[in-house]
Amino acid sequence: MFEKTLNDLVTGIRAHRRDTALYISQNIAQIKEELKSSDLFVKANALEKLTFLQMMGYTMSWAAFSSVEVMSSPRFALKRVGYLAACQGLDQPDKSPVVLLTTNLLKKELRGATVGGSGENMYHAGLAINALSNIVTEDLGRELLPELLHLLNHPSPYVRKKALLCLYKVFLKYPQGLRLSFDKIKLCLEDAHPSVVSCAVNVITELSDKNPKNYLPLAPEFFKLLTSSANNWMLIKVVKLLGSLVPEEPRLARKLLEPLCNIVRSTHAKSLLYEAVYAITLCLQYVKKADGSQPSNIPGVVDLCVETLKGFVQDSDQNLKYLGLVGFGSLLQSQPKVLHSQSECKGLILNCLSDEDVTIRTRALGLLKFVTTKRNLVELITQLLRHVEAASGEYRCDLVEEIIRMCSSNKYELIVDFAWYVDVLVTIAGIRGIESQGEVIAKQWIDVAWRVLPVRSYAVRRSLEVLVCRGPGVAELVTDNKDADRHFLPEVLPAAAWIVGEYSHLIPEALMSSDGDDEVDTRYDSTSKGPYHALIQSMTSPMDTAGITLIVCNTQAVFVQNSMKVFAAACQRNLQNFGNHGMSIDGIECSDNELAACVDTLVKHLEVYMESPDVEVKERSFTFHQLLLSVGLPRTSTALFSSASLAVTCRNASPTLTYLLIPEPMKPISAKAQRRKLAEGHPSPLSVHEWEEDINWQAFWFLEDQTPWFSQDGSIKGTAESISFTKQQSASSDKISYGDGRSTGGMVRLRTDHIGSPLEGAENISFGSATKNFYSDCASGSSNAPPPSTRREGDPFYLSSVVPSSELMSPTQTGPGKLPLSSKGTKDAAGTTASRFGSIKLDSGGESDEGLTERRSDKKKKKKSKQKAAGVHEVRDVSSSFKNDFAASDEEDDSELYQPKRASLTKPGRAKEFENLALVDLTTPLGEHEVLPRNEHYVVPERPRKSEPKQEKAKKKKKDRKKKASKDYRPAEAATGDLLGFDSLGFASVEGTSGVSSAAIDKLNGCEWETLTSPTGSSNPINSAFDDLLGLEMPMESSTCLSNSGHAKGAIDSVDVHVRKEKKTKTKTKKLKKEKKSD
Amino acid sequence: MIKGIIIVNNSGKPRLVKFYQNVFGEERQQSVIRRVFQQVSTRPDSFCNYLEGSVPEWGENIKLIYRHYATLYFVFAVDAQESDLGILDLIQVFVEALDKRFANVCELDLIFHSDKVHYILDEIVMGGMVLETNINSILQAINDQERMHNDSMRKAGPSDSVDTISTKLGAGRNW
Repeated sequence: MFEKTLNDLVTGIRAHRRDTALYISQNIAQIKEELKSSDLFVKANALEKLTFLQMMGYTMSWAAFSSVEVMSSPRFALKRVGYLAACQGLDQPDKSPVVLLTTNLLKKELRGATVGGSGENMYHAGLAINALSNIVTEDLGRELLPELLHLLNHPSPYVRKKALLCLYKVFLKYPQGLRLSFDKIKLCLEDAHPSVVSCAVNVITELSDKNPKNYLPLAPEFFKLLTSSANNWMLIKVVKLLGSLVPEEPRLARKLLEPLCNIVRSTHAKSLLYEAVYAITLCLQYVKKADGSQPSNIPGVVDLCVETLKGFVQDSDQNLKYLGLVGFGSLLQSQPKVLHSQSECKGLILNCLSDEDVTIRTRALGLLKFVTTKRNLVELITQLLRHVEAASGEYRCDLVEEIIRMCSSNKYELIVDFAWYVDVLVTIAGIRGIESQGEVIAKQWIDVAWRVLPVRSYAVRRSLEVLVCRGPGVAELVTDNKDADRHFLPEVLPAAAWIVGEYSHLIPEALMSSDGDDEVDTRYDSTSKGPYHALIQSMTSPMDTAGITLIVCNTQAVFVQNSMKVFAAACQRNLQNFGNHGMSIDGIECSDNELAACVDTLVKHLEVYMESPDVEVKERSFTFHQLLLSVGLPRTSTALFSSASLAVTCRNASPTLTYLLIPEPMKPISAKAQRRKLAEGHPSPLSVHEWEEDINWQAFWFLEDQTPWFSQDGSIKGTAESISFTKQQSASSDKISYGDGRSTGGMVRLRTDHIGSPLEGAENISFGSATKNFYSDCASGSSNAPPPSTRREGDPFYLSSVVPSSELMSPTQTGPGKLPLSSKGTKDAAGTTASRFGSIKLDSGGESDEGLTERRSDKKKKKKSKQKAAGVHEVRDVSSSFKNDFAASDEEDDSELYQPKRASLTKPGRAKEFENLALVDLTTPLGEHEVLPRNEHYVVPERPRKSEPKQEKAKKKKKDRKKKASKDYRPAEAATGDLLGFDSLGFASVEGTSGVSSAAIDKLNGCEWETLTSPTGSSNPINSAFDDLLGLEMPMESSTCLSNSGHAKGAIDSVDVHVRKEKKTKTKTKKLKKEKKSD
Repeated sequence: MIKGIIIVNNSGKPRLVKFYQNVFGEERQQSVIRRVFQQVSTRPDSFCNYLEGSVPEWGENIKLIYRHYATLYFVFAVDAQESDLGILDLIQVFVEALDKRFANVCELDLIFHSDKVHYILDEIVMGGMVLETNINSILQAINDQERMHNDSMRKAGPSDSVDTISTKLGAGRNW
């Protein structure tokens, strides 16, 4: 039978273009059969094919054992196939048990390189080293390190090179080896053969990439290489290496400048030239002396760099152009101003922005921020915006990101006209395909409106446009208005809504400020009655522009909130002027009709939102709906009311709405300022009277007015409680009786005790508690309620004053203000949190308070003693761990939006597999326990005397057989049996057969041997152990025995068929027993 | 370090795949190949030979350096420790070695002798590090091993050497 060769397979695949998969699966089945063959040639051929298929994506991990078998062939050709298959196909060597089988094989090959005098051995060793570099695991590394190190002294540079490079791969898996062997690697730097030195430099460069400070002591040697060597390949590596050392030792930077400049001036090799310039740019970041001054030669060096890099950028070769830009990027890290005087370079970089090649464009874009000045910013951005239109994909996002970065850098230092910037932002927001930048744009938008007072009304105007133009528009306008289907990033809509809502008092001003020529269209659709109405329509309509897509819930929530703010502003609009002129001064009034339309739209849409699946939306719409009811506006339909009476109600409600919704303008606060506020601790609690002064009671005029609150039958329609931010339908669920509170204080007295209900106390979250306290105290202040101290008894909020655990905590608390509460309820709430934590522990642990505290203090002590040594400040209790959380989150917030990316020196995302290697420290001397692992043969422990002669007998037999012709050579079955823990069996078999003819022994042994090495395809642990031991027994001879195994197998033809069959299903032990019986 | 070397043809079929930083599992390997091909194939030859595309399997800060010869893309994925121009030269050396070995190399040579391409590559790059850049030393090693390869196939194995042995023995007996 003839097997397909690799050639046949490839031809076949090419012929079966239609059903390639089928053809291949047939072939894999064939390969599986072939791998079962005992002929190594057949096996190797099958493996060769399989390796080819692996490249096409077919797994070959199941054939790992076969590749190890083929690897052990003495024939170079077969061996090669086996090695290649192992390199390519071994899936996850760390987890594969097969890799262990190769240990002795590789060891033998590595040793073999030194034995024979012929050149062939060196290639055999080369194969093994190459394979090792691909499949090395921690165990392999530990076992083979001595051999590899030994090869560093091999006479042939070919072997020395390979062994050196392989060492690096060994260290990756077995980092401890680095400390043991680094001295020998250092010696290789002085090797006579340049390519070996080059490899040594290569290895050290890689090592120093992981942990540079280990290699600082070598700097002088590399410095010498840098100045003396002429091999460009090696020089590149040396330059790279020195470059990575510079951040560790800034003095080196100044020293390096001169020789590097010499290379730049003298070399003709572009690659070396580039690397040298790049290294100089790295050095320039560190040349500053301790006193802050720069060495005198810096300007010259910088000029040289600029000249060289300019040459690269100007080159017609795109590769050099790209590298030039990369080099500039590195240079500008240390010399950001260098391009300002170089108008020619500026032009070059700008030209690169229009390059076809996106790689070059991206690089040029990164340099742009160094080119921008106040004067050319507007022009540049205008050009870039045009680029954005033309760009696509990732690059479009990059462009937008860069535009925003340029404008916002250093607190908008380059921007002169903020109205222009608002325009830019609106333009960008209208671009499609930059969704990833939406949030950034929204933030910028709000930030500008927030911080830049003069531009605020303009921002309102643009936001208004954005919101209103989402509507279907007015029919006649759609036809001639090309902006009718304007698209806006969904992320900017909340920003626009917030601006319009927060600065809704500026709406008239914003609309007035139009220059006349471009009138803002303030109609959302044909039913819009005015700008306010249009805004409310836009923000409360749950559909997007064309009614196709729903707005995301988050945006909806913002919309609901801000539509109420706009409504509040609309109500307030004509208040001052109402009655004087009947018309507002600035010409933009809010007519009765418009107000009525606003109410109508709001009420209708809030009802829709109240059914929202999103809690946030639902909650807000409920609250506002109830608020509208409580100020006397109709529940659902406005049809029954005249617009005039509605408008009057609205205007009457205006103070309340304004007071609740827009009490005072928000101010921008940076994360740092907020943290400082927190650190100050919270102010001393206000007395009830002080609070009272803060509250504008006028806003709650309606609380005195009875009429809207009760329907005819006397049931309550709504109460002040319905203005709860936490409780949605309390008004309807528990009916509250208004007792004497109303008559005595002239204020509705809220039922304070409902706060005390245990259920609520448990469910209260911080915000809710603050609000409720607020309300309860309002009531108590004005209605002569019992004094707080007595009232508070039995109230879970005030447990803090009773429960000892909170007292225990309070002295250690550095500031209760760390808790995320408004100052009013802070202390109480802090107590609640503490007690709540305590109670949780109590419940679960079933311990008393004292026990708990004791245990806690015990823990503290332990911690203390541990941490004292480390000098770490102790984390004391729950509240301070809160603090830590905040600190952490603050750090995150604090990171500037547009911090320029750090220089490439900090290496982000270092792969996990290098972590261990980076931890190795070469600076400390070797300890006594750190010695190279020595390979010792496993010594079989001494046996009881009885069995000894038998063992010897067996060994003798084995030796005798070795002398025989190789075909009936059998490995040390007795010893194997022992080591595998089959003592009794092994000896029994020998004993049993001793009396029988030698043919029978042959038969038995043959069977056993075949069983052990049979290519079952799976990785049988017994097999592997056997193989491994084989190698250990006779490291030098195992090859012959392994290689001959195939022939031995073939030679034994007396093995009966049924044994063959059975061996597949039964374990070796059983079989041995059976054999014995049959004998 | 070189993270991987991939040769694909113009239609995205892999012709040589070598992962130095292990990418485990054939599925993931194939997805890397596809990703690399997608990024490389969209670029005309007039573009520069560097691609800062991302291949998540190899981590961040990986650069794809490639050359396009007729129907084949030679793609090297490298990290910052390799010289950008140096790797371009290395690709050239690799192709020259292939050309010398196969005499006017073409895609078919790579298809039918994928094993030999591996052996050649192993003499230039080992374990992700550049082993040798001198074309003569490379060819020397390749040719030596090729000769050994052929010798070992021709040399009679111990088992089927019965005839040879007997003739030798026979000669001895005669003597």
